Amino acid sequence: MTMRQRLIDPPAWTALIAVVAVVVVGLFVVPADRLQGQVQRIMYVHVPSAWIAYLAFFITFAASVRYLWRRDLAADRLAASSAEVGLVFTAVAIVTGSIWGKATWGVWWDWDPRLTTTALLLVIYAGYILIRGSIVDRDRRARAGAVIGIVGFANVPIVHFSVTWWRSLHQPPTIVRPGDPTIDHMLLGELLASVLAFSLLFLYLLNRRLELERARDEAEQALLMPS
Amino acid sequence: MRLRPATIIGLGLVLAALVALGGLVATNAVVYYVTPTELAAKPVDGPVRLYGIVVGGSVSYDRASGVLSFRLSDGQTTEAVTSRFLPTALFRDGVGVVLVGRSTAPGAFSADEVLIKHSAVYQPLKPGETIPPDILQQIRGGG
Repeated sequence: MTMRQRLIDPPAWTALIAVVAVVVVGLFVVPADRLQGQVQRIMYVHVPSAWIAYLAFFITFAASVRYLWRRDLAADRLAASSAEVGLVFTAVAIVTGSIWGKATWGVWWDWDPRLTTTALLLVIYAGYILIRGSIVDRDRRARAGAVIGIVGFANVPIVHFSVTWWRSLHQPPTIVRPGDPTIDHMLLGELLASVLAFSLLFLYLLNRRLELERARDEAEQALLMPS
Repeated sequence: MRLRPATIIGLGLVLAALVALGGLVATNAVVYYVTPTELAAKPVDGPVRLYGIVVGGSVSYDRASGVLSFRLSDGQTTEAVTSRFLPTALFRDGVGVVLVGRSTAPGAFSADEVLIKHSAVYQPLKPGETIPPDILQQIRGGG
């Protein structure tokens, strides 16, 4: 790909413009929360990042099931790519949450159930990537990945419901809860727009990562072929 | 079948995380905090987290010693709290706080940290609305 071809990349531009737009609206257009003030605006990055991480690990889970069922390497590539992008969004959720926590709770970190289970999520998928990277045999790599991709996903609902099941410092869900979301509807609109924009970014990143995984499989195949 | 060191480290991480998670779920996440009523019924000797509501009008701050005092209630039982920790600007009458500290006497609690448990309600200011006064601003700027 030449530099010029690289610049003409509609999905990349769409995702970039969408993310910049929701950030601008989140920072300058919608009003801030009456009690928390300006720092509440970090929600428009924190919440979408956490949700995208859930989505990414769900894709890894579903693709892992498909791999074990059909031995389909394309599904394994999707599982690996989604886990890696999901790990990045998990890290973004933790960092933005930490900043938000310092300004509202008063500390960067506390071992409350939501924070603890999210930290464990990070460890599980970091382990997933480490294990995949260390297994040379293609089928064993895919099998090991699929098992962890399925078992590890059990933590995602635990992370989500930790604030409902247990006493915590983190507030309970605002939107995914029985009844009307406990957020002003203008703020809710901006939050949902942010989720959409971050989804576009996620799809773009996932696609690029998938291309890389395909190229890697082709390169490995070429190396194994007798010339 | 020989495993590479990185595989073993990765497996160790995943297994450790799953065991920790299983432990959290099985023990019902232990108890992140207790309430003043629970603490009164079953005193804890050592560090503990205590949750309650800041009783309206009970907050005071001694500038000379830097000690913040207030009463904490769960609706039934009230604790007298002292702390040198300066909480965030969300600290005010009626807010829910998680204290990290220890009992010094029955009904008295010394907090190393005063963390604000904010609600999941997000609303902009209505025209002409004012929010309850920021106690910390009074403390910090009061002289």
